[in-house]
This record gives sequence, C-alpha cells and structure tokens, in this order.
Amino acid sequence: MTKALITGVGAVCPLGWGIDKCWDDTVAGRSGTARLEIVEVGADDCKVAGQVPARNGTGYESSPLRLLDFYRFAETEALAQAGLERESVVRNPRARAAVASHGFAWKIDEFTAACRGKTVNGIDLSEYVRRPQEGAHEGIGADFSERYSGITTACSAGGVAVLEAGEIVRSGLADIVITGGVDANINEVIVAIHSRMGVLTRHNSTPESASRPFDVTHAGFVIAEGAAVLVVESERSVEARGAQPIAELAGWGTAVSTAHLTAGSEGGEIQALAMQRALDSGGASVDDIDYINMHGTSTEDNDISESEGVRKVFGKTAPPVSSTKGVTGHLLGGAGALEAVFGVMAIHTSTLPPTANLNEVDPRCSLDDYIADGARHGPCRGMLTNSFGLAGSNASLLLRQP
Amino acid sequence: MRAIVSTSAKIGFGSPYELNHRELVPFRHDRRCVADFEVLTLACFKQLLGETEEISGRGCGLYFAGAKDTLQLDVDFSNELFDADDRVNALTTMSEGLNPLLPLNKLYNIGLYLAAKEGIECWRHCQYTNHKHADYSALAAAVRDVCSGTVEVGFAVFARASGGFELPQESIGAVGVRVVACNEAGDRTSDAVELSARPQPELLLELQRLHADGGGAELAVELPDGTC
Repeated sequence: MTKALITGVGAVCPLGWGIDKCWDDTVAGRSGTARLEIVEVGADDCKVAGQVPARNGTGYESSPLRLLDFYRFAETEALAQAGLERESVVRNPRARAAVASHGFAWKIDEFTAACRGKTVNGIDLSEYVRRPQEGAHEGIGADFSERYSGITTACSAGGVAVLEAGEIVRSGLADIVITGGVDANINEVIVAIHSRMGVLTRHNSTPESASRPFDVTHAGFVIAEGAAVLVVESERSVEARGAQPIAELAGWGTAVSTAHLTAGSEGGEIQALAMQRALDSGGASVDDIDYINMHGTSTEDNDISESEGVRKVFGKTAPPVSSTKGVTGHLLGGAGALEAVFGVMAIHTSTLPPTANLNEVDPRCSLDDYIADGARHGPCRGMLTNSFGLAGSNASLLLRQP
Repeated sequence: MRAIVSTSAKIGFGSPYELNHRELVPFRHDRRCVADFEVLTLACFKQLLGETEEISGRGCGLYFAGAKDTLQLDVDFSNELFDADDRVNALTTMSEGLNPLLPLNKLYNIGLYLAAKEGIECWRHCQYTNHKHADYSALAAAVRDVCSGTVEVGFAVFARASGGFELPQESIGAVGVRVVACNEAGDRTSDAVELSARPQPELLLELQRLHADGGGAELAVELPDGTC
C-alpha cells in the first residue's frame, strides 16, 4: 500500500495571503480576528469575525466571488511548492481533486423577487440570495469533472476532504490529489442565526482576542473565512518527479456521535474514537505523537469534550496541544484543511504553534499543556489534527515526518 | 493490469410521496424543504437495513450525495415541490431561532446522524455535493473503501428531492455495496455498471433499471492494480 505524501501547501486566512504570512503570525500568536466590517449585522448579533484582508493590505473586500479568489490563490501556492503546473495536473487522468466548501454569495433573480419586502433583523432577505454549494463546487472543480469530489460535512469538512485525498491515494485510484477547504460565509444571515444559537463569541469589545480556546472566558467561536490547499501524492509520483515531500498523511479516522445534533459527545468518547482510529490506521501509537492541533473552537462544549477525548486516548501522557483558531477564527469548511496545513508546518519547521488568548485554562479542560506560553521549538515527529462538525461528524488526521 | 471488482448491491429507491413523513419527521409539514432529506435518508436506510443482513463487523461507510438540493433553502426555484414562499418562511423561521437545527442552513450530516441512531456504526463517512458527479463520487467512494477493506459495507445514498439534473423524483435512493469477488480485467457481468466517468443521471437510472429487474445487481468497478 502506497504512502500518501504531502508535497505542497497553500493558505489564505484572516492573517493574510500565503502560507508564510499565515504561519508566521500563527506562531507569533498575532490575531487575525477583528471587528466585523464586511457586512452589517443586527444589534444583538456578534460583531467579530475573521475576515481575509484585501490583497493590497487596505481594509476588506466583500466580493461575492472572493471564495474562488481564496481557493485559487491557495491552490496556486500549493502546486508551486509541489513543483506542479495546474494544467498538467488537470490533464493527468491519474490526478483528482477533493475539496470542502459550503459556498458563497450567488445571486438568483427569482429568489430575490420572492424575498422582497421580507426582513430578518431589518435585513432584506433578498440580500441573502445564494446557491452557495453548487456555485462553489462548480467553480472549484469544474476542470476535474467526475474526478472532483466536493465535500460538505459541516465543520469537519476540511478534515474529511484531506482524508478523502488520503483514501484515494492509498487505494491507488490516483497519484496526485489536490485537496483542501475553502469558505467565505460571513454574511448577515449566517452571523445572525449563529448568534441566536449562541455559538459565536460574546467578546465584541475585544475583537482581537475574542477567540479564546480553552480559556476560562471562552464564549463562542469567531466565524472566519479563507482557504487552505494541500497536494497529496503517491510514493510513485513523488519518486518519478523527484519531488520533495514535506510530510506524510499517515492515517485518518472518523466517528459519528449520536449524543446530540449540535453538541459534541459526552465525555469526548466519539472524538476519542476518531483519534484512535487515526492512530491505528497509520500504525502509530500515542508515543509517536508530539503535538495535537485541536478543533478548539472556543466554545465551552467543544473545548471541554475534546480535551476529555484526548485524555481518553493518551491518558496522563498527552502531548502538548493547541488551537490555532485563537488567531484565525473558525473557517468552517476550511478549518480542517487550514489546520492540516499548520500541522504540516509544525512538522516541517519543528515548531508547535501556541494557543492565543489563553490566559487561564478553564478548569473543566482537563489537559496539562495547551501551549499557552508561546510557540515551542523542537522536533515534531508526528501529530494529530482534529475536525468536528454538526450532527456528530468527527474526523482526525495523522501527519508525520516523511 | 486492471482489476475488476465485482460487487453485490442492495438497492433501494423511494419516492417522497410514498413515505409516511409525519411518522418519520414530525415537523415535516412545517419545514418540508429541510425535512425531506431526513425523510428520504431514513427511509432508504430502513429499506436497506431490511435487505442487508450483515452490517456490523468492521462497520459501514456512509457516502451521501446530492444533499445540497434538499438542504439548501435557496436553490432550484423552478422545482414545483417547493414554492418560494416555503423557502422564505423556512428562512425566516430559522432566523427566528425556533429550531436550533434549521438555523445552520447546512444540515449536511443529518443522514449520518440518523444512520447512527439506527445502529449503523459509521467507520467512514463523507458527503458529496459536486453537482452532476456527486452520486458517482459517493458510489465510487463506497466501492473504494469496501475494496480496500476500510469498511465491510458501503452505503451510497442519493437524495434528489428537489429534482433537477434531468432526474425524475423517484431517483432517490440508496445503494449498499459489498465486495464478493475480484477477477481479472474483462471478467464482468452483462449487467455491469461501469462507474468510471459515467454521468450521474445515467448511473442512477441504470441502477434503477437493475433494481426493477430483480432487486439486486452486479456492479463492476474498475480499479487500478493492488486495490483488492
């Protein structure tokens, strides 16, 4: 069975455009979350978001097509690092793409007419006119036709897309898979409904530190946007091209929780199952793991149950863990892919990123080391990265040195 | 050399109008555009579970396709199933927070959740929405993961409650895939459905035809060397 090797990564996130900027700021703990500017929301709604800054560095852009801008940038960067030309990959019958996305603004005249005069929070519903998934995936994957998989498993989707790439390569169905996740879902209604669910941060007065994973003051996630792309290749392809792998996608696991449609499993049991399956599928033990990039949304429910899940798998010897969502916010369908990219960077640069905005650990978060005191430097032989989603979709990826 | 993997398939199809919506999803009549996916998915699982004897062991893989049409409240307004007022009402309702599930407007994993509630241990899962090829992706993933031994049984679930893609409303269903034999290239059955590059509507209709002919079907799936 061939290994699945990662030869290129790319990213766009609230920290900026390009993996170097995103990673440097993440390691430094510089926040990309800010006061919400690209849309106006209701008085009682969350006012903080992780918005991707304009390419020229001045303010934000709210183009409905920015999702594709994000994706194409990250894809181009990843392919360049891998030493691949997109056209040759598209033409290669042994190449595929598997990308997570939940969509972006997309006008439909009929819906606009139907919604006219109807409002939510004073917002004209005709402004919320979208056919997001179809538009997004047509834009992302059209060149690959049936060799494209568009994945939508809520907030686990980015992780699920990457493991899909692993399955494809490991099963021999393709030699090259472009994978990742992208979302650009910051709009009035999405913010309003998530606010009313009580899952978005309530720290409106301190937007830069509003995402506080594992902190005693964690009070909801910061909705964010961006894209992350990885190039996953078979050993045969890497050897034939003389490419240089930067990490191995060594294993993956999924598990489904039925405890609640929107909450994690009690005691983290199902999250633990996903992590254990990832270890098992990669032939790894807990001793092989030097770091875990947590789903770490900054919601009480997730932070506590995920910590319990890690404890169940690793016992008293849990490795250092952190949540990079402290600086990026939650990219929804892009989150799992971005955090996989950060996992690759942790291995590649021998640096463990910190959990930003973590001043006092919630005593209900049961792990010993959330990397609250700045980045750590030292070898990272292997790591897990977790992605959990609505309705019990849990995914965990195992990455290690190639 | 390419291997041909023969699979046995249990195929179930259902029409939303033939199901007892109220029993399966109580709020169906108020929020039908969202509930349809739940109804159909659960019905397909129930049908498959009745026809599939062994689903335990290493567990199942669940691969959904086409959920976007039924879950998104803002697509396909030409579809007579859902008029625009329904969508507006549903959107307004979800924004009022009356149902903590509806607000997300992305109930992508509901089928997964329902399957787990039915006792299906999901060892692997995914959901595909890539337009015309989503069904192909789901079925191919089911076959792939069964062939690789990742799962014992793979369920590919297709939902097409909102029509579109030139498919009739009856094109809603699920396929359970299980590997029964691996043969050399060329050794395929006359009823083989070759998955490679087959457009989604044709694939589904072919599966329906096979189902109508006798309930089960033989699928032949081309996979590269070393996959079984």
